[in-house]
Amino acid sequence: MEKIKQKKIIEAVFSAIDEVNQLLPTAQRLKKSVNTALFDKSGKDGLDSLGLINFVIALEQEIVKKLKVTVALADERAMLQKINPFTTVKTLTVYIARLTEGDGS
Amino acid sequence: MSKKCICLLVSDFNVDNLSAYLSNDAGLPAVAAVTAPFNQVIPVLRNNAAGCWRNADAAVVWTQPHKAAPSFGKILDFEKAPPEAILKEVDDFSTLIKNAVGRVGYIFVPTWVIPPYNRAWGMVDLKTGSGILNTLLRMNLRLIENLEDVAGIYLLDAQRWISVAGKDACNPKLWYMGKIAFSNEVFREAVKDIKAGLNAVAGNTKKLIIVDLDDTLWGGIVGDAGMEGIKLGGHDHIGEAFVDFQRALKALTRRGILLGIVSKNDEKTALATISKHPEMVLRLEDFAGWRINWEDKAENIVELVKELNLGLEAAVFIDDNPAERARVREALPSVYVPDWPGDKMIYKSALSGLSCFDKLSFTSEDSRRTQSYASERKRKQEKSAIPSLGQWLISLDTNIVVGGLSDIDLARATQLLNKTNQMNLTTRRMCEAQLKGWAAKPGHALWVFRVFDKFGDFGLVGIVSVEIKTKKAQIVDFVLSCRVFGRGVEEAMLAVACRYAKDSKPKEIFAGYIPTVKNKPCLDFFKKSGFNQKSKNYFFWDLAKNYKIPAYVKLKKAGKATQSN
Repeated sequence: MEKIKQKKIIEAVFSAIDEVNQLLPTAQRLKKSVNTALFDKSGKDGLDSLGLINFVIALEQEIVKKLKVTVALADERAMLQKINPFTTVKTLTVYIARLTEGDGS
Repeated sequence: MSKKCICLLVSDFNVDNLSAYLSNDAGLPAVAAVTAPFNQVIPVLRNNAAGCWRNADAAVVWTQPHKAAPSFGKILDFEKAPPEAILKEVDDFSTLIKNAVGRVGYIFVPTWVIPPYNRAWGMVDLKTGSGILNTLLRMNLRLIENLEDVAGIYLLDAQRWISVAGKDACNPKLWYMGKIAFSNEVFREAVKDIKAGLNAVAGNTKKLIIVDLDDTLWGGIVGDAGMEGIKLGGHDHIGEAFVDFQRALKALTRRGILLGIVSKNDEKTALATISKHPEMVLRLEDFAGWRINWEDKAENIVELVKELNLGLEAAVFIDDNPAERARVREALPSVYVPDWPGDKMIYKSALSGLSCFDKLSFTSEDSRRTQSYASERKRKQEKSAIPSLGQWLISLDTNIVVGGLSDIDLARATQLLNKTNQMNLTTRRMCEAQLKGWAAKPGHALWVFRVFDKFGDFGLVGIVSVEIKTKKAQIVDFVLSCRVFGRGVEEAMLAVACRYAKDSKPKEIFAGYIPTVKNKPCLDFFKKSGFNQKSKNYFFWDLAKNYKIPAYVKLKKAGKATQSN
């Protein structure tokens, strides 16, 4: 069961990457890999702030489609995590798995 | 690679996503979108010298209704705001947009919309005075009335984008986090319409739809089932869908789009079905031409397009058979072959969803284009019956009416200038305002030519413009529809230009041919025109001599030419 859920979460993240890639120049497009860097404050890797907004909105919609649950990814809970959930695809999928269990702390 | 169209986005919300979609979209024309300073719509519209206007070819001015007309904000808050005050604000905003004409070639203005989640006050919403939707409809209507006839400004229906995107058209999170008023689905639809608009102003719209017959115009195989066995009309959902699809095609012919048939079929059976089946909406006279045989469809398309004097890039091919579509796509990449649904009941909506037929305006020439091709078929039939070309040209009784560029002719003249590729000396592209402005300048003259013969009226099919220089006169535009090539109209157009130049003192008139991939017919004409070819692309005429019009055409004046000295 958990494996199926994990697969759906990764599918949702990859769909959101597809969505946000349409907005990016070819050279800046994100790879669909668990190690892909999504965002860091320095702006060196991954998405800029507008890209992150687009990504978050797209991902929330994909989660509704694929997991039939509504989550809020951009809230204070995400900011309170020791590791920023948006660091990589992997950290994000772990965070979403916890959120969808009802445990976002 | 052709130059990218630089499109300036002026908005009171964050349009970076729209900018990205426009710039990344692979469809033609290629666009480099740039954004004006965020939320500075009024200062940008007011400031002719604002840096963002520099180098832009086109602009999109997309605003929220309460920003363009602040009193509408009161209506949103259920406060009182006099309707006349709101409409005055719409007028003021319209004036600002009008004042920006000329800074770029074209300005596109999406209509105002409110988020679909804004249910507001239910039935009260439609009440005059306080209703949000009622007020918004009036604002949009006023905006349309103010701008629809302004050359260079084109309105876009943003409500369609919202409808396509549905309940997710606006996401409050996008607004609060990024000041983005609409979702990306809305922006993607907007890109389709903006690009269709840019193609329309450049004259790059499709002119011909070539359809298959079996399972495309009707259900079933007429060769097997016979005329009475095909599915068309009647009390049958598939039959009804085919009738509706034919109606939609017929509607396109009224917009000036030509219809052709390329089908693997027995011609006699197919033509009899088109002529006699009681439920057929399209009849033979609705088709500009056909190739119904068992040959390769790609080859048939090439022949048909050639017969109609069009380029392959003007054609769209619709066929239910994916293998035939793949064959045509591969053999003729210039022909647009849309993916076509397997479900017959969505043929009509698939056709309606194509944005490649968008035009800036519709002229009387558009509405009689198919008829004109039917007349051309009769001309050709007569030509084959008359052995001598000279006798045939005399028998046509060709009449040419020349006149200046009037406001009535402006839309059609601009359309002709921007759509004509083959007989086009310089392939200069201009919007209505630019063309009118050019013709009104001192030393410039521009004529339009209408042609009719005993078979029918071609309408406005030619443009010649001349610029008088100190010692020489230059033919700047020499544009003629392919439908009247080789009928003496070309010579009549040159004669008009020469007569005018002679009366304006220069001793010589010349034409400078600018080659494109498509305008060799123009070079071929000038080579045999009698003008003296002094270098590869320059042709001169000594104005001491009269340039003669062929005896088999009659040239009449419609009025004074648009000319200044």
